[in-house]
Parts: sequence; C-alpha cells; structure tokens
Amino acid sequence: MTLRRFARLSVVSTLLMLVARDARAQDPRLRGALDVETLARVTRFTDSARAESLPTDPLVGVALEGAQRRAPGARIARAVQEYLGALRGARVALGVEASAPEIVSGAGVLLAGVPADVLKRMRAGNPHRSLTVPLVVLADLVARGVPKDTASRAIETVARGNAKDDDFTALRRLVEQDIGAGASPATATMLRARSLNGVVPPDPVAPAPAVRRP
Amino acid sequence: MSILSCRNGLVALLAVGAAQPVAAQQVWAPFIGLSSAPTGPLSPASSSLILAPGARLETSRASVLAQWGTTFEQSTPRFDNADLSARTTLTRSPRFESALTASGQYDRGYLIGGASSNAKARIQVGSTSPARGLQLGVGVDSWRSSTSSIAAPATTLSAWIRRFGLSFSAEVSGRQIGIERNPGDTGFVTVDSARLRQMLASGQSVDSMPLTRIYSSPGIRNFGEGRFRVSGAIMSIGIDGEAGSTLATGGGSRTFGSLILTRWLTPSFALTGGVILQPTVPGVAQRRGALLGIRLANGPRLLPRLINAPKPAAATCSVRYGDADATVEVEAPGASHVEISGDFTRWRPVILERKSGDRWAATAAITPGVHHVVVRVDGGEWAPPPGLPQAVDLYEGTVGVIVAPERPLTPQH
Repeated sequence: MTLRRFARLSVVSTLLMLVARDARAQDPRLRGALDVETLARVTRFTDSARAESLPTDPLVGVALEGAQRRAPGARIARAVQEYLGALRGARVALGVEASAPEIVSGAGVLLAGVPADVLKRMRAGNPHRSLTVPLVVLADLVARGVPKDTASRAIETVARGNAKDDDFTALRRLVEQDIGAGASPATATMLRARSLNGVVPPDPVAPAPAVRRP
Repeated sequence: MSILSCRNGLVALLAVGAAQPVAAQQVWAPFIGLSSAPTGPLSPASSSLILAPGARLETSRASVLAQWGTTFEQSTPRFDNADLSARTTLTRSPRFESALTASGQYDRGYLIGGASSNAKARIQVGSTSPARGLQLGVGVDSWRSSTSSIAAPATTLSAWIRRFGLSFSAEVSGRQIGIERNPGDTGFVTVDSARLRQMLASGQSVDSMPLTRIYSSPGIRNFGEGRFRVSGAIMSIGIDGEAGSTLATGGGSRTFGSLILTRWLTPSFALTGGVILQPTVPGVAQRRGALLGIRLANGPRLLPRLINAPKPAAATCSVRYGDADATVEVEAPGASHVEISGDFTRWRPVILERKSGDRWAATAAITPGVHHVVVRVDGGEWAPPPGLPQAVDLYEGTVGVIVAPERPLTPQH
C-alpha cells in the first residue's frame, strides 16, 4: 500500500467515523421531524444532558412537541435549551441523588416560576422520600392561578406532616373543586393544606371571588 | 339512486387539508377542494371545474369557517361564491352563556339580477351544555343584490341534543319585511328556468326574460326559516346533513338540504360523497348535484360546518397503568371523536375508541416518569385533560401531567 493510498484511506475512515458518531448521537425519534440545523442544535443539548446524567427523553419530547406544533426551528431549539436549563437547576436544587422523575417534575416547578430555594427546602425537609408527586402538584397549583409563594408554603406545610402521595393528589383535587366552585385559588389552597395537616377542621371552603390568572 | 347515476351530473371532490395548531389553544385548518358541478339551471347537463379553498380556525372561545369557490369555465377562472361563518362565546357561567353568531354568503348568481349576498348576525343566550340545550337569539338579517338591499330584525330559536356521537340541532328563525313595489327587487322575483333555456337555445336575449313577482301586492310579510342538522360520526363514518325550508306568508317557500358522508379509511385519508340541494335564500337559482371524492387531512377532522351550540369538551379524565403502558380514559358527553397527544405518543394525535356511552379510551406504551398530555374533542382546541394536574407548556399553553409509576398502581385522578 502506497503512502498516498494509506493517507486517503485514513481520511475516509475518519470521516466515516465522525458521521457514524453523529448518527449515533442523534435521537432516531427526531430524524425527519426537525430540519438539519435544528436537529444539530437539539442533539447538542441532548448530548450535554446525557453527559451530565440528566434525563434526555423530556428534551426529545419538547423538540417533538414543537415539531408537531409546526414551531420554527429557532423556537424549538430555544425551548429545548430552556428545558435543559430547568433540568440542571432542578438537579442542583434537589441534589445529585434525585431521581429522573424528581428532576423532571422539579424542572416543571422552576419553569412555572417557583424559586429554586423552594426545591432546596423541600429536599432538606424530606431527604429520603420521593418529591415527584409533591412537585407535580406544586406546578399544578401555580398553573391554576395560586400565587407561587402561597402554593410553595402549602406544599411545604403538607410535606412536613409526613403526607403521602395520595394526600398531595387529594389536595390538588380539592383545590381544583374549590376553584371551580368560585373560591379564590389562594384561599382554597391554604385552607385545604391546613385541613390536611389537621390545623383546621376540614370545612368546605366558602366561595370567594375567583382570582384570574395573570 | 346511486350518486354515480345522479341526473344532474357526477361531481368529483378532492379536499386536501393541512391542519396545524397555531398555539396550544388554537387549531388552524386550511383546506382546498377540487370539484366538478353542474353549471347551473340553464345548462344542467354541463359541468364546470370548481376550486374551493377555505380554512377553519378554532380557539377556546371562537370558531371561524371561511370557504370560497372559483369556477373555471373554458379555462377562465371566475369568483363564484363565498361563505363565512363565525361563533364566539361572549360570557359564560356554569349553566348559561351568551354567544355571538354571524354568517355571510355571496353568490355570483346565474340568472337575472346578478350577484347577491346575505348576512345574519345574532346574539344568543341559553344553556351551556353541549349534550342538550336551548338558546334564543336576536339580531339582524340582510340581503343585498345589484338592485336592492333589505335589512330586518330577526329572532332565532335553536335547540340541540347529542346522542350516539351525533349532534342533532334544529333552528327556527323569523323576520318581518315590508315589501314594496319595485320591479328590480330581485330578492322577490323568480323566473321560469325551462323557458329561459328555450330562449337561450333559440338565440333570444336573456334581457327579455319576463320576471314573475312572488308577491303581487306591497305590504308587511312574515318570513320564516326552519333548519334541521345532523353532524357527527357513527362507526367511522362522518355524517353531515342539513335539511330545511324557507317559508313566507303569501307563498314563495323553498326547500334546501345536503347530506355528505365521509368514511375515514386511515387517520388521514377518507372517501366522501353526498348530495346537495341549494340555495338557502330566495333570488338565487337552485342547484342540485352530487359529490363524490376523497379527503386528505393532516390534522383534526373538523366538520365542514359550524354547529350553533356549545362545543363538546372532555369532562373527566383518568389514567390506569399497566406493566409497560397506560390506558387514558376520557368522558366527553356528546363527542364524535376524541384524541390525545403527548410526549409518550411523540406528540402525534391518537384517536380514542368509544367504550360505552360518553366514555372513550386508548392504551399507549409509556415509560415510568413524568409525562405531558393534552386532549382534543371533535377537532376543537387541544386542552389539558380535566382531572389531571397541569403544567406550564414551553409553547405558550398548558398541558396535563401524568406520573407513570415504576409498577402498576390504582387509577390516578
């Protein structure tokens, strides 16, 4: 084999390896759903997440959702980047031992505008229990118009009482019912949270003027 | 009588739809139709090509449907007709709502008098239940032709009931109009189509065509319109039918109707066919014909008409978990079809199967963890399933959240 042929083979092999590596890194679910440039940007984010041991499926889900909604590529990439930032923030706040579902639900809380300190306090107060459901319920309360600090205090109050996941689910359902009946989201949340902890009797919440979401 | 042997000609219809959500709470569904139809009562045996694009926009509060037709006669395009209808909710409480409905039609016209248009607007008040209800509307009806224009206050009583995936609705409206002696009032004259054809065949000028006034004496006339509609789907066959009659004191009634069936062979491909009898307003030549063709859709199967009633929506939603999948159950009273979409379906719509009554269900593979999901009823807006936790979506909306456990658990509400 001549030196020239060897050099040519080396170049071709290197190129093939690079292409193969790119093909491995790209999530097959994203192929065909995104344009080449967006796919490359999203792949960089999922690669970063994988390297940091963060869950990648939610990032792929965000990209696919954007593609299904016909969002522009730049918008999709921005959404994925924003979600990756939230995942990182949740992992930092919840600790390196946090499970993937906890990190994802924690990211949902951060994206809802709740400060990371709330997650830190919840982890500190509940070092051994899963916070997935409490965090999902916290994000839900904020999405329904409960002020962030009110919702955070309520969830922390319930969590301090050794509540089970079913208690948080019940809290969410009751608050939803009360809001539907005309109660203020903040009032409904605080009263239901306190009644769950036995601070006040579980009286039905009196209807109050509803507070519109901003 | 089969559609193919319809005396008035075979109509081929091709409708291509490409629907896409604009934001989380909106659905924008443009479509285009290609058809062949009888040219008009003057020459029922000949057909012309009709290009009919349109669009439907659905938001959480409003629906807008716009369609227009362009006829190609000897390769010359000619704007032929247009329809625009809209319905928006003004105020809403748990039991009552007020809504604004508006519709307008333009028709180039085939006979003497040329183009004509009509518009209707109503403010309605009534019940909010999509399953059954009643609404009373008051507003204005108007007509305009090249020689006259009329506007009159009008009232409408509409009722609906939804059963077996079908929406049955009835609408009765009335108005009072003062008729004056105006020979050019094309809204209240008629012609003898057979005699007109004879005149055309013998080369006579159409201008000499005698007009027959529907009303021989001036005075106040009462007009009424009754309309019955059925829309929905049974066993994957979409049904959209309408029949009605316009009535007037002193004569001049007309009947109208249409029935279009759509059989979805795949989620995006359907055969469609039906019959149609037009028009719905006096002064416009009557047309009869049949439709036969295909429909392609890349999105919600929106009905070709707006239903003048509150939209069906999901009432409750629950999730049952299996070893590696989840069954999503949705209760949607009066719904014709229900879809879910989520990260576990790669955000592709999955059509739920009707289980019993108003209950719908679908099973999909799901991994343990937190997942996002939205639901859509009858091609309306995507919304977080009621009963599930909600979360802020990164595309300006709200989604439902489900937490799939590591192992099977009891149903989550």
